[in-house]
Amino acid sequence: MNKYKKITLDGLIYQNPTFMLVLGTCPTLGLISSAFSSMGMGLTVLVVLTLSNIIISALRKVIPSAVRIPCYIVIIATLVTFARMFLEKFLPDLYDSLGGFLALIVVNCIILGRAEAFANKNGVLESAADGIANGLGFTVALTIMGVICEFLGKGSLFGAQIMEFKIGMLATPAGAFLVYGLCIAVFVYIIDGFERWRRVKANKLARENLLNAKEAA
Amino acid sequence: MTVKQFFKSTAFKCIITLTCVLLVSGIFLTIMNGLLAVSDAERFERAINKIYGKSVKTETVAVANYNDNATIDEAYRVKDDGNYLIKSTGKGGYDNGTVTCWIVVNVSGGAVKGIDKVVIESNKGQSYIDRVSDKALNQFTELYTDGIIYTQDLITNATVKGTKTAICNAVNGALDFVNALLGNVTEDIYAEFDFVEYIETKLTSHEVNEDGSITFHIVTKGLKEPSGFKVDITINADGVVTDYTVTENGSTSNTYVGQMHAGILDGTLFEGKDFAGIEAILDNGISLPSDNSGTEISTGATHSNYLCLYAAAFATKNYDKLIVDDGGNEGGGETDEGGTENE
Repeated sequence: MNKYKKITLDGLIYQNPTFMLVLGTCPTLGLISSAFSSMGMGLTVLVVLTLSNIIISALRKVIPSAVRIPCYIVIIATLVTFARMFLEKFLPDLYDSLGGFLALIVVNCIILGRAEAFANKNGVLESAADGIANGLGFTVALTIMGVICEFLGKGSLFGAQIMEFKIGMLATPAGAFLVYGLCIAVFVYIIDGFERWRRVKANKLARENLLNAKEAA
Repeated sequence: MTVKQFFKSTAFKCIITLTCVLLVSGIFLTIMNGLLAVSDAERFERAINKIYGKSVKTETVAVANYNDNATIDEAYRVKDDGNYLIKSTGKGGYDNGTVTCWIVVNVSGGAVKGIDKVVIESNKGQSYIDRVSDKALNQFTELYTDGIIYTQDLITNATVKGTKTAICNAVNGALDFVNALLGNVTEDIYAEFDFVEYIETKLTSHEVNEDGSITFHIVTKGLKEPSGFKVDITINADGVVTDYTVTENGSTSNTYVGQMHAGILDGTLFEGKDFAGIEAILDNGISLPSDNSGTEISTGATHSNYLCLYAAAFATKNYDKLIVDDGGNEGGGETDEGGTENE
């Protein structure tokens, strides 16, 4: 398989940071009561993650192993501060809605995790692809849960009121926890089902090939 | 380790690397801060835009306070339409907390015509502020009439009495400020009376009955947890309480209503007593006792009891100031058919 395709599928599906690795739970639970905030947080993490992966990958041979973690933290903190400045200047509504969670991206384990697990060992292009894929995986997961929580918890979608019926609890972090758990269950069920179907298909193909080979012999 | 060895060591490399990373980051952020920093003027413009709903030009107005229950923090006149934008902090919230609001006061023809918008800016100690919905805040616009003084019971769609009281005080403070600015000041006839610290003097009124007794319709302020009480007290010609009815209980919940002194809830503790009798209920005059001081009103809802006792003290102590004088006029306010009202 093409290595970029593998990186992309891993980040989006097989090693999805939210649903499969259960990383970055703090902003997930804190922000998914609003689809707008969830998507905004996801996109901010995507940008920071991609840039940090690129920079760390480019500097991986320069940074001594003993101080790599402090260096990563400084780089990530710089990028997060830049993201905060950018959002405050150009997207003040999003900046206000993300609140304290924006600064907490510095300690988001997805970013530090990818820096340590991937960017530290791979080239710049692969690291950029990994950052984009993981960032997209995080963004899509947060947006899906944000839509569910906002729709059922507030009766609205991206701020637009859709219906009067609402289950208020789902708009709270406790409700978000419930939705998060259910989403993980559904996601894992789908991935498992797909994997099973792929294995059955591969077995069937292998059996047919074997039979064909026997017949030919 | 020699100096030469140190310069070749990993420790030196680490120090240099970290220093370089920090320096580059610092320089980058300094440049970015210069390019992206949001100025105070821009921040203010955004805040105004958000509150007002559109970009407007404003001029600063000097602030002054005309309401004891609110502090005017900032005031602006909107040049585009002549309205006033007031940042006001209302006191009397839950546990003596405050709520700061931006209030757009609609002004036309030199008079206040309404409240266009109320936006909550911040609060101190109001943990249930989220229960104040937009619908509740919109009621300030819907309910406005000339001379209105907002009270928490007028505002529905929010279940937090204390927080609503602070918001109402902020709005009332803004209205008083703008009215004073426009030269429309309402006279407060009880301002110079005794025991007014916990009395909403602008919301309190009285009427003189045919038998010479006076019925007070007293509204108290909140005190720590409980918000304001409404109490009707009738004082006869001898200055004695003949009727005492709590018409609205400001206790935080029914649990505290249940913990109040039974004689205060039904008025029997005060009925038949003059000011001296009411003062004698407490050991140290009309001072707030602590919850465990052993006085008759220290029941677990001491603050609620105290506000009711304070209302009784206000009525009995000031009764004589309202007795009709030789010239046929009362001590304060205007004479009306049924008596005198403070509006």
